[in-house]
Amino acid sequence: MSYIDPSGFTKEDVLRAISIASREYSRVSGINPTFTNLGGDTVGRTKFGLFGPEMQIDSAYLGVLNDAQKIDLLNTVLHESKHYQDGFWGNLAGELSGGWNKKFGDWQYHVDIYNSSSVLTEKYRNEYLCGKK
Amino acid sequence: MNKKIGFLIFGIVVGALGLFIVNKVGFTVKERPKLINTMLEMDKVRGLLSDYKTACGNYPTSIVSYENLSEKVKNKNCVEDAQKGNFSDKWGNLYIYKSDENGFRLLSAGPDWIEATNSKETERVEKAE
Repeated sequence: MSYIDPSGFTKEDVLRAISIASREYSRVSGINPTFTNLGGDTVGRTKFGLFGPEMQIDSAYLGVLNDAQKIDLLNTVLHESKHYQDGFWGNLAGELSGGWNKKFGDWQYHVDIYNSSSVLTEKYRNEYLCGKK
Repeated sequence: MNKKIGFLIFGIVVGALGLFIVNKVGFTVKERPKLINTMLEMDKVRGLLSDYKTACGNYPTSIVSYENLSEKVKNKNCVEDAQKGNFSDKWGNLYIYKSDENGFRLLSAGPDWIEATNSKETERVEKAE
């Protein structure tokens, strides 16, 4: 077993979150997110580069997480999974077609992702925390 | 001939530069999870408070938690809670909630507990212990 954090708990938490997310977003099945210090308020990021998308999770999640932090992590993974699933063009098209939401200071497409990941987090909360369906 | 080679070299350089930028910078969106999730939660709570008013005829005097309020609305339970709530925003700070017969005020002071009263003036919110 080779995990980034010494105890290995975080990586396991992330992979379990990915496993749950893959039921909603098939493209994320089996992916291995990287831990990066994203800084500021950013906790997750999906990069679309030359060699395909890469999901990055903030290294602030490294370590043993309490339940609230785990739920936050699940939310982040579900959010980034939607970006990952939609791909470069899907994200671009989503932003352009949905337009800018002045109230939230963000693209409507992105606000919708926050909303849907919040709903999905509630849906899978107990299963994720207890490891049961 | 030289012109063609010049265009070819120009095309290759621009293409390589473009690919480098796409790969280096990527296409990323600015993530502001705490701010937007707090705003979304406040929107949902405002909706629940409106439903509560319809069911009970008044706004609740306090909010214990989002789940508690949601349950109350669902079950049309208008009994006020004796317990003090721990209803917090995504920064872990308590929401500021006040209500009377005319309406309610629901605020999150954000990460720094500074309430923007207008674009030029800010006011520090007193944090309840």
